[in-house]
Amino acid sequence: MKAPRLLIVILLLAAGYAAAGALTIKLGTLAPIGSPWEIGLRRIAADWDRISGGTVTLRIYAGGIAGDEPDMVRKMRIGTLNAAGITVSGLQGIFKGFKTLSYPLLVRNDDELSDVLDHMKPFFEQELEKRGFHAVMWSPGGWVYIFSRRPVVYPQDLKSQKLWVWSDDPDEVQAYQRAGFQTVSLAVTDLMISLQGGMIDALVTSPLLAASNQWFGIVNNMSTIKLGPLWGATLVTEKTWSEVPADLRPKLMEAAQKVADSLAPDLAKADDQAIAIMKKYGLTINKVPPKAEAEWADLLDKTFSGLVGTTYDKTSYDMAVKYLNEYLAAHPRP
Amino acid sequence: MPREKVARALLSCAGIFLLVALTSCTSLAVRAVAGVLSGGGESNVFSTDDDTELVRDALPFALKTYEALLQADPENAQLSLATAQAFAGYTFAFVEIPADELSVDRVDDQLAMHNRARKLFLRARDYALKGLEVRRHGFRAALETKGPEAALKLARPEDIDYLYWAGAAWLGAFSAEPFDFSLIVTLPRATALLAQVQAWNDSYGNGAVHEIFISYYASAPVDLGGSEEKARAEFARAVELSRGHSAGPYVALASSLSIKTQNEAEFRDLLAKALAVDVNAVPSQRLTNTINQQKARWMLDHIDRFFLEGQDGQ
Repeated sequence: MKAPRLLIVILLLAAGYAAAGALTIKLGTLAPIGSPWEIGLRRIAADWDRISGGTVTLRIYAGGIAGDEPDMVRKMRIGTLNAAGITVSGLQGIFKGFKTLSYPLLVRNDDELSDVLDHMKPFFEQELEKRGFHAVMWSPGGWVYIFSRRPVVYPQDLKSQKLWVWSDDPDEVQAYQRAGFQTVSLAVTDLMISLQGGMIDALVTSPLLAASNQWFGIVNNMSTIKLGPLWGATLVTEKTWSEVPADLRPKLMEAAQKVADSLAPDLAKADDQAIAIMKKYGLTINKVPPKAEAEWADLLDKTFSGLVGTTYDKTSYDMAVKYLNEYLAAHPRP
Repeated sequence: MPREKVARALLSCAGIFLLVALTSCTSLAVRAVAGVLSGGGESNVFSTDDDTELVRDALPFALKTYEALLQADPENAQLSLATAQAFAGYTFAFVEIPADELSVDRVDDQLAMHNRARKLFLRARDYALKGLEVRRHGFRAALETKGPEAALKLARPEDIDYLYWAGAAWLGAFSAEPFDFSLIVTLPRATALLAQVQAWNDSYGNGAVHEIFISYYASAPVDLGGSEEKARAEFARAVELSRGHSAGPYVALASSLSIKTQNEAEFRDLLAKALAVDVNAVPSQRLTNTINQQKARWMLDHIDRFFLEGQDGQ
């Protein structure tokens, strides 16, 4: 009866090894179920499952059920959550420098963003590691535009409308006001009722969000100027990442970044679809000519330059400007 | 999609195969078969069954039979309605739920199945609207160009089933692919049809509309009318109207609001109540209750997918 006993021992050991080797990474995100971002995370989960032979499971809690972004960062710090797919808004709660790439009209298209971000990744990753986080993926999120009740082409057109600002940074709100904008700060949950009641006339958001929340039914004018990129990252706590077998880590990161790289065209397509549908239901697109774009750039730079060093981390800002200028020297804007 | 209403979608098919075999495809024969298919649910061999696999395998043939008959008799509004019911019920029970339950490694299959569910739900909606168009000429054009208020002026209380199935299938398509902008912008039309059903008959289908609105109010963003308070009110009314004989309202609240608010204790309690429903108490709801109880068991077995530790009742 030795053989069966030996077999049992081997099986028990194997079971024990499997249990000890299995790792579940719990990831939170605000991305709604069915959105390109959430589908991207599902693809990463499937790839990680395949690459690790089922020993690394990425479990996704989407649609904000793990809390808003500051909440998710807090939960990662206390270990309730192991990972989060968050936007620059959540990232800046970890390190202020992340907001630099969203500085209005600094980077103007996907290529510029991609180049500057690639150069800054080592610096950002170092800052994250200092704070106990590991970035497994950097992802695009589309671009934000002005949606308004009345057409906006030049800055003056926006100054006559009440602009919703989603910021808890008083310096930033005051900067807008100093530049002549009538700002209204409200929670996002009060946005629709405020639009309906006339408390807000304009907001800055992405076509995907304007369509999916049906804000465009009221603010039915969209300006073509891309004010800034939406972007984000997927972070895992250093503690959890260290539990992933060392030989698997580069493979998992490669798979995640591959999904992220495929997101940019998907998001551009989704934005285009959203704009097409909104146009069908009454959205007017207002083209911003070069002369007006120059006015916007001048005004916004004056508005925000005073925030470098406070709202925007100076070291990060200077780096971003340097890399952007290098890129523009080789790829001038039209 | 309300669970007890799946029963309506699956009934009326008894005898179809025999009748199709025995009759030639003359107009009279078509109407004879159509009469059995769309005739009020006396022959409920599907809805009273508790063998979901048998029903799942049998229904696709029945769906194509409905379509073949409708092609031969396109002005038959009752048959259009029955076709809508059958497609919506099949899609909910045998396409959407299995898609939701696929494992993490099958993301491409899951996306494909949800896309298929969306298409089938829209086909169901279109059959219901086609039947309504036969009865109220101009309804569909008014709905698309002038909005639901203008269209509903053309409808009468005797059209209630058509409005219900069009609205239910429409929201079913949205639940299958909730980020489809072409559907999002039409949501107010779908909810308007269901609100009209409720206005005409609050207890329609033993609370069927209330059950749909549980999931809708719990899942929709605030800007689209989402509200925890409204979801709970719809749940209370759905349970009251079904007199506790339907597992559907419990599963609907658990799978939407309890997860959204991360209330694990409530989730377990609701699913325990769903599992305690006697599937034999109301034979016509046996199939839908069986399907809902299977879903409840699956959700309890996979509870880690839905809840983070340490934030119960958040």
